Amino acid sequence: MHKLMSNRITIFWLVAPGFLLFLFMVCFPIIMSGYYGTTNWTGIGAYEFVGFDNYTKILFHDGVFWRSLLNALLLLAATLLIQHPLALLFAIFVTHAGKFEKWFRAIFFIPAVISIVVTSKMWVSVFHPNFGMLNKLLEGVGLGTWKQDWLGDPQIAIWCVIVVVMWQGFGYALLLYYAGLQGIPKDLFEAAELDGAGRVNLYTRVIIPLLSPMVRVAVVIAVTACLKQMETVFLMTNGGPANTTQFIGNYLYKTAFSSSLYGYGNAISVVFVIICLIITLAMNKAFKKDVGEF
Amino acid sequence: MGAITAQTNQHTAGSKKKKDAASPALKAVLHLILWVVALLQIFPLIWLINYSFLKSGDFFGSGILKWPKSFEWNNYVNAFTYGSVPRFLLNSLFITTVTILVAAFLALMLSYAFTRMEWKLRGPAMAFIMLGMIVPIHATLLPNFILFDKLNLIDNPLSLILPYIAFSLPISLLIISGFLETIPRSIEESAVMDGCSVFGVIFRIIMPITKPAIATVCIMNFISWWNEFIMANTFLTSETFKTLPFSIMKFTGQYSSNYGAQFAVMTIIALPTVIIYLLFTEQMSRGITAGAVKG
Amino acid sequence: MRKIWITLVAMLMVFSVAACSSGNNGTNGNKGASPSPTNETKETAAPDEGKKADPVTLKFFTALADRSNGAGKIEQAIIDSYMAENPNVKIEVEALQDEPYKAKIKVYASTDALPDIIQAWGQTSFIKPLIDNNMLLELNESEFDSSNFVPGAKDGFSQDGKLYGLPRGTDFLVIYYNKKLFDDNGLSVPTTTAELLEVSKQLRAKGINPIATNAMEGWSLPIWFEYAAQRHTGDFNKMDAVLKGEGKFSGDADFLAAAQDIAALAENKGLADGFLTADYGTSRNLFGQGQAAMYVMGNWEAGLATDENFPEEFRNNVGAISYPASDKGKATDVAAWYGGGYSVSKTSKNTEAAVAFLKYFFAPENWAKQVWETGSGTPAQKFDQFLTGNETALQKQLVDIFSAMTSSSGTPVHDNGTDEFKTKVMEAHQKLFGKQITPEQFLTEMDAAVAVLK
Repeated sequence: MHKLMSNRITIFWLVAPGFLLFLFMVCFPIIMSGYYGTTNWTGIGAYEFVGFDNYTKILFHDGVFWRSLLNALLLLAATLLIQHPLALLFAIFVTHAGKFEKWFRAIFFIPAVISIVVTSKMWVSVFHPNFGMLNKLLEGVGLGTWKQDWLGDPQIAIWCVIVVVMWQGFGYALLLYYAGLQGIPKDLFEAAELDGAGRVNLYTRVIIPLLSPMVRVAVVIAVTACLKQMETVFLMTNGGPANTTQFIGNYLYKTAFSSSLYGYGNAISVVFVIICLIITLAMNKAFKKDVGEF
Repeated sequence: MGAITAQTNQHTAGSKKKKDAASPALKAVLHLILWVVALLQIFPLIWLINYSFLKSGDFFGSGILKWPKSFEWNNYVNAFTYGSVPRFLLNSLFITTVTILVAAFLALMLSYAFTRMEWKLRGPAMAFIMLGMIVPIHATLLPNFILFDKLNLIDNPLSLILPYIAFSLPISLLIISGFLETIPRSIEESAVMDGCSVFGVIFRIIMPITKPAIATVCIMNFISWWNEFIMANTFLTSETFKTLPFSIMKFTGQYSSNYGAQFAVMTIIALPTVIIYLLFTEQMSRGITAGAVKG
Repeated sequence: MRKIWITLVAMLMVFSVAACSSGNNGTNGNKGASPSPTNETKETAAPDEGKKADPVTLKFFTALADRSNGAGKIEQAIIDSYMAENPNVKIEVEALQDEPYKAKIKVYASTDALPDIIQAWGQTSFIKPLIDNNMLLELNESEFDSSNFVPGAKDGFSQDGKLYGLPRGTDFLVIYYNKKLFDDNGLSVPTTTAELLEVSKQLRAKGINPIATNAMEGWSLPIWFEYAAQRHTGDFNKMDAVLKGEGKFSGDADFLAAAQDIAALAENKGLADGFLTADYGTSRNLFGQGQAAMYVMGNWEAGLATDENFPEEFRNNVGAISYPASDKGKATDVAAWYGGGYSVSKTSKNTEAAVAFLKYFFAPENWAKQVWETGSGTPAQKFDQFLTGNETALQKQLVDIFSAMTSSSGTPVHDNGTDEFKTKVMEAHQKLFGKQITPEQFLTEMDAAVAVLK
């Protein structure tokens, strides 16, 4: 058994196809980015090496970059503090919904399966100051004074984007927690009921701690998704007004393609990957788990 | 939004105190809350479909939802004829199907090697692929374009399929290997005793057992790649291979003043994923349940 | 140099238009035999050699994304009729809106894989890198003599005396207005910058969006500011001088006053709600559906008067004016420039076929005639013979603005440099119009943008 399981040739054939593809399509481009990041290439024609100029500029002189990072962290905070607790709560509700359980589970997940192109277009319409649903709704319930130019106001726009991202990801988080709840043995619930333990106690003392592996998975997925956020912003505001809703993914795309600062854009993506790495490693430390398992 | 969440929170706090008895009143409150949030989640879809039947000008009226005076089926006819929807639909189907099948296959082999086989580098190698989860796709956009151009793959479905598969691997690996950890090794051991090779074990024994996890991985990858458009926009140039999300970009650009048709196209794009999801929802939640609990 | 030409051409137009409006019947008669644009072109261009030749596939990449309206529709119609006449030629069209188009052209250029025919802008920010890196085919000017390009129109596409592209149209920024909204509220269309502000205030007081524009993309704002500045400086050249390093924006009383004008407009909510997040389609719809009284956009939107998606009431009431005057700048000082056009890729394997198609495209009875007759823009070719007198009122107003022009701005300020400069300029304007910075800060940001050019 051991001999078979450590056969190098077998291992090679199992690992090589996936691993090579991964190297070629994911790692190699990043190395290329690192290389272009040290140049002043505009995307066309010749370029010069500028050493680490791009990198120092990003780290010390680029307000938009830090704003983008801050926005990602805001989104992350909102996701972890609002979306996830709500998702967990509703996952619990759904398990108690009786015959509608499946319906709810399905409905809650629907936004996650609809193309972001569609949901973004839709939310832009919802937020439109004149004919958008939100302002109409506020007026309808007599809160006309609360009406806003939701996406045009630099103070509010970022929160609107965050709401949309949370809305879209809500079902995903809910499904993960729901799945976690399903994995908990039914007799545990029954035992607790026999003990006369209150339902709230049951959940806070017993069930939720049991869910911790699932929480870990959900949090890891949330962190990566928040940091990588691009599509929703790209389609809703393109980072505007005045870069207040900028996210790094969109910023590097805009820098490389609209401003033709290809070298600089690549440097951004390298710095970004490194920051993500650091955050992930820190997270793993926090979960006291080895890197391999997250 | 804020107001609504605050309200639901209060409700839940209240309902929790009463607890235990599971009185009909409590059940009713619970259902009410669930229905309100469900409506919030599904409302945009309703709105989308509603407006796809209206004339462009109706969009600017005062109501929130509107019963169309006459159903503008023409919007759908336009969407189908001018938006090249049928062809894009087939392209999307082809590209995502190939992607999810190959990705599941590769991820299964990798997972087996990482969870069962014994070799020195397996820890670091797995961690390495896992790190791929944090790499943003757009960071690889231009380098990959240069690469594909050198390989003559621009405007070729492979230019999407290859990166799609590569970016699917980390999350697929996470789920499938998590699932594998929960399976006792005794089954495989007896198979090996019977003279089965490792590949035989994987495809005859492991694959059937891990079906829920594989299904989950397939659905998750399906959803993310079905909707992907930034790579599709960059790597594809001719109409021949363009995918669905692209058609809406194209369509909104080309028919910018025809809101009705735009909504029709969006509906056409949104519905297949919703239907596919509804068909497989059971499978998917089972897969996540079984696989990710161990995580 | 380019500006002078636009102005001269415009002045020439005065005469031709005058001549035409008196001789409608004559011009109509001349071309009356061929009402359908697609059928009449058999005898022109596209020499026979193409017919028996090997199959050729041309990749055609354009930024006219709307293929069912306006200029995009005509472009497509000409392509279709060319393919019908030359069965061996297949033209594959890829169309994206401006910004995605420009992003993608960079992707192509960075890998030296430009499509055979691309849309190009005769403006430094776009065409210079392509020419400098030897990516565009030099065109033989004499081959296009019969196209009757107006003098100076090709200058932007030329470098060191060589021609690298052909312009499609003459563009200028105007203010479209909805006459009914003005009439219903007892307002008159503004003729001075002070009135513009006043009218905006009154419209806002009546709950009507004053001015719509596509500020999300951002390019209309710098051109708008050029107008505002000219109305204080009295001279479009002053801004170009600053770009060349002669003087600065900050500290200049005229530029400051112009920025303050814009700030005042913004402060009084002169811009439509949500304008900062409105893209081209959204802003156009807002105006077209009667939700905004004015619309700052280029002259190519004459089709507003015929777009069936808009209510008839709007179509009958849409008009256009030049930017209102001040004591220093007249309404006849217009922000005008030569807009998009086409270039051929040097690496194309079918340069001959591509050039043959362009010859066909720019034959007077194809692009110039059709674009004019449908009100989709003002061609960069002589088109006076196509004036019919049947133009919509909107078209006539646009021609009047064009032909009354006494000075012009030339290439829009943001296109006068690198892409990095362009981004910075547009962002500075978005902040000014969006009330996020003061006029003083705006001028400082503009100077910072100019610094990038050095």
